[in-house]
Amino acid sequence: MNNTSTRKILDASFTALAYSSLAAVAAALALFLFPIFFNGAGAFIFRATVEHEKFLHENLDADLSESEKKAISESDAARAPLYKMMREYESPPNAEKLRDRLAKSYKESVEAIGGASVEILGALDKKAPERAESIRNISKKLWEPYLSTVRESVQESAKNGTSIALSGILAENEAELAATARAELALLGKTKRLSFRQKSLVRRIVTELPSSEISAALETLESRNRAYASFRDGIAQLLGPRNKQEKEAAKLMRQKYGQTRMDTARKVLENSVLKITVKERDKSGAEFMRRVSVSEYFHGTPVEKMAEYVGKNADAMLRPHIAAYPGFLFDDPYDSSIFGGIWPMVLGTFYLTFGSMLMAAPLGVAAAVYFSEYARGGKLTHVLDTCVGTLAGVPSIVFGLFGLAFLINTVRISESKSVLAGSVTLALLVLPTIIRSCEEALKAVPNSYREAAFALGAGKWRSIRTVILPAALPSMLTGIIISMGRAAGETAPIIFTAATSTGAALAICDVFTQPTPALPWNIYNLCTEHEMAERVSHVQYGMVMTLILIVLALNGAAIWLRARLRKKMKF
Amino acid sequence: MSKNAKNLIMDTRRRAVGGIAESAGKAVLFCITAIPTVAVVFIIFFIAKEALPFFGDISHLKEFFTSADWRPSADPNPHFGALSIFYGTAMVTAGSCAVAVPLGILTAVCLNEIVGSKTAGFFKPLVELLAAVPSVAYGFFAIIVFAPLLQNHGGAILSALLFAAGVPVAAIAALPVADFVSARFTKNARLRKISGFLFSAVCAASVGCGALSLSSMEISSGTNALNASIILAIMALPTIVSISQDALASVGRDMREGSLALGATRFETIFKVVLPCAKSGIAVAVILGLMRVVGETMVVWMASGNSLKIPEPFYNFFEPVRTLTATIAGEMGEADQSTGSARYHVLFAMSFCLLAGGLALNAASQWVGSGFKFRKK
Repeated sequence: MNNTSTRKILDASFTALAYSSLAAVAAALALFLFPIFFNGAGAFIFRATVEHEKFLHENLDADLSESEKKAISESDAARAPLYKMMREYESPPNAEKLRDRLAKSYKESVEAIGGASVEILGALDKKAPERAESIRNISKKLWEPYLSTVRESVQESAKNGTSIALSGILAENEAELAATARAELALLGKTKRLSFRQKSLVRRIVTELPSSEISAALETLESRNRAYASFRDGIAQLLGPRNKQEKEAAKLMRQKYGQTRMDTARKVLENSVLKITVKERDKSGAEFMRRVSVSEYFHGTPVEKMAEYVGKNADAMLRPHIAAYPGFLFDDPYDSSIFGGIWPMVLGTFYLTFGSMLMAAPLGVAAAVYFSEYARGGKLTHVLDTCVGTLAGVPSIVFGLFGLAFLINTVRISESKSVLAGSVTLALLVLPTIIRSCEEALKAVPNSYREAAFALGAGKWRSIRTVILPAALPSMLTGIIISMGRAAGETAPIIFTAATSTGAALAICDVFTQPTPALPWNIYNLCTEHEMAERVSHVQYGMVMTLILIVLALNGAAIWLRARLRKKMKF
Repeated sequence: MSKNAKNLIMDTRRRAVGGIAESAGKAVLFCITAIPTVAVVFIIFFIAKEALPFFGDISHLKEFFTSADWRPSADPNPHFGALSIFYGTAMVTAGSCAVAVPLGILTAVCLNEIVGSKTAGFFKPLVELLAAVPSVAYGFFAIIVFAPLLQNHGGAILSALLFAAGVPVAAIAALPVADFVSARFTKNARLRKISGFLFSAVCAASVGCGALSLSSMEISSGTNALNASIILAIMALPTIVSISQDALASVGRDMREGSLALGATRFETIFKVVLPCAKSGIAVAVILGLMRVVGETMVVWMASGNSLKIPEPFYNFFEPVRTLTATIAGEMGEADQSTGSARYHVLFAMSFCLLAGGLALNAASQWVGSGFKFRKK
C-alpha cells in the first residue's frame, strides 16, 4: 500500500475502532450490572403496602409502631365499604323475595299442568308429525307463567346484582322438575294406563322446555358469576383475605396476605382486578378466552361500582410507603420465597465456600511450596505440573458428575447430597487456581531472601516457614480470596453434590450429612421453575445482587489486601 | 572443644532425625502436590467407568453420534441420538467465538498498544470484574433481562448492534481494498483518495442498509442460540483479553521501535509485527476462551432454550438449541442417580465427550503455549 493518506486514515480509523471495542466492553458491563443492581436494591428498599407490616408482625415478631397500627386500621376502614358491597352482591337482601316470586310462578305452572290432563292425553293420541307440534304447543302454554318470570328475573339480575342468588334458585327449580313430572305421571295414570312411550312423552311435555330454558339462563348467569369470581379472586390477591375466618382457612401464606409490594400490587390491580379473563362462546359454539375490563363487562351493575371503588381507593386500601427491609438478607423465606428473605441460601453459600477453602487453601499452599521450593524439574515434576493445568481445564459440570459418581456413589461420603460432598468437589475445582497463584507468589520472592536465610544457618523448612511464606503471604492471600469468590459463585458442581432448592437454614452440625440451599442454585431455580415468577421477581434480583456483591466484595478485599500488604513489604 | 561449640554442631543422631523429618516433610508435600494428578486420574476413570456401560454397546455408539432422536427414558424403546445436542454445543461455541474473539483481541490491542497506562489501569479491573461475576448471574441476566428484550425488540437491537459494529468495520476494510484496486488503474493520488472514499462509503452504506433491514425482524423466542452466544461471548471476553494482553506485552519493545522507525504507521506495526509475534499467545487465549465456553453450564442451560431440534436452516441463530452441559445438568436430576439407569450412563457418556474435548483443548493450549514461551525467551 503506497497511498500515504489512505494509510493515515486506516491508522486513525483503526485506533477509533479499538477505542470503541473498549467502550463496548465497558457498555456491556454497565448494561449487565445496572438492571441487576437497580432491581436488586428493590428487594431491600421498596414501596411497601400495609400487608408487608402485617406479615412482618405476624410471622417475624416485628413490633408495630403507632403510625403503622394507624395505617392498618385506616386501610381496614377503607376496605370496609368494598367488602360490604361484595357481601351484598354475594347474598343479596332481596334474594328471598326473588325466591318467593319464582316459586309462586312455578307453582302456577305446575297447577296448570295438573288441570290440563285432557289436553295432554289428547296430544298423546295424535299421529307422529302432529303430535310433536301439539306437544310443543301444550308445553309452551303451560309453562308460560314460570318461564316469563325466569326471563324477567334473568334480565333484571345483572342490574340488581342478584345473579348469584338467582342461579342458586334456578338450580333448585331444575332439580324439582323431575318430581313434578313424576307427580303428573301419577295423576294421569289414574285416568288411563300409559304405555312406556307415552310416559316418556309426558315427561317430555313436563320437563323439556323448562329444563332447556333454565340451563340457558343458568349458562348466562354462570358465565357472569365466573367473571365475578375471578374479579373476587383478584381482590383477594390484592388485599388478602376479607376476614379472620377466611384467613384461618387459607392454607398458603400467599392466601393469607395481600400484595406486600406496591409494584406487584399495581400489576395485580391492572391485570387481575380491573381487567379479567372471561370464557365466551363464538357463533359455532367453540369456547375462547377474552380479556375484558371489569367496568365494561359489568356495565351498569353493582360490580362496576366495586371496580370503580377499587380503582379509586387502591392507595387508601394498601397505604403504600417506602420501606427498608434489611431482613431480606437475614430472614427465612416463606411460601416458596414469595415472602421473607434469603438467609438459608446465603448461609449455604458461606458453608460451601468456607468448607471448600478450608480444604483447598492449605493443600494449594503446600503444593505451591513443593513446586517452587522442592521440585527439581525432571519428568515427574513435569507430569505433576501438567496435571494441575489439566485439572483447571476440566469443565465444571464434570466436577459435579465426578462428585456424584465418586464421592457420593462410591466413597459414600454421605447418604446423598451434602455440604461436605459439595465442598470437596468445589475444593478440587479451585485447587489448580490456588496452586498457580501461590506458586507465582512464591516464585516472586527474590532468591536473595532464601540465600540470606540459609546463610544465617536456617534449614530449608525453617527458611520457608519464617522467611519465604511470610514474604509471599500477601500475594498468596489475594489468590486464595479470588478463588473463594469463584467457589461462591459456581453452580454446576453443586447441583448433584450439595444443593437443594428448598429447606431451612442448616445448623453447623448438619453440614456433614445434609444438603443445603445455596444462592447460585436457588437463583437458577427461582428463575426457571417457580410457579409464580412475577411475585418473586424482586427475590430473583435481590439474590443475584447479593451473590455478585459477595463475589465482588471478596475480589475487592483481595485487591485492597494486596495493595496494603505490598506497601508494607516491597521486594 | 568448648561446651558451647559442641552445642552448635549437631551430633549425628540429631542430624539423622532432622534428615528424616526433612525427607518425611518432603514426602508429605509431594503427596499433597500429587492430589491434582490423582484427581485427574480419578475423574477420567470414574467418568469413563460410568460411561462404559453405554459405550460398550456399538449400536448405541453409532446412534449417539449420528441420530438426533433423543428419548433416553422412553420405555421400552429408548433412543440416545445426541447429534442435535452436539450440534447445539458447536453452534453456541462458534457463535460466541465469532463475537468474543475479534472483540477480545481488539480490546487487548487497545489496552496494550493504543491507550495510555492510566486508561488501561482503569479498564483492566473492569475486564477482571467481568471475569469475577458468577456464571449463574450471567444466566440470570440472559433469561430474565435479555431474553424478553430480544423477543420484543430483537430486530431493533440486532440492527443497532450490526450498525454500530458493521458499518465502521466495513468502511475501514473497504479502504485498503479500494486502494489496492485503484493502484492498478491510476497513479493520481487524489483520484485514488476519492475513489477509496467512495468505495468505503458504498460498503458502509450497504452494510448499513442490511442492518436496517433487520430492524423489522421478528424473533419468536428470546431464549435461543443467539442469546446464549452473546452472553457466553461476554463471559469468554475477560479470558481472551487478559491472556492476549499478556502475549502482546511480551513482544519486545525493539520490534515495535524497528517497525515504526521503518516508517510503518501504528496500525501497520500492530498488524504486521506485533500480532504475528504474539500469535501463539493469542491462540492460547482463544483456546482458553473456547474452553470456558464449551464447559459453561448455567448460561446455556438458562439461555439457549433447550430445544432438541437442529435449527432450520442450520445457521439459524434465532432458534432454541440445547448443549451437552445443559443436557447433563438438566437430566441428571431426573435420571436415577444411585442405581444407574441407561439414562444415567448416557449422561456420563456425554460428560466423557465433554471431558475429552476439554482435555484436548487443554493439551492444545499447552502445546501452542510452549511455542509461545519459547519465543518469549
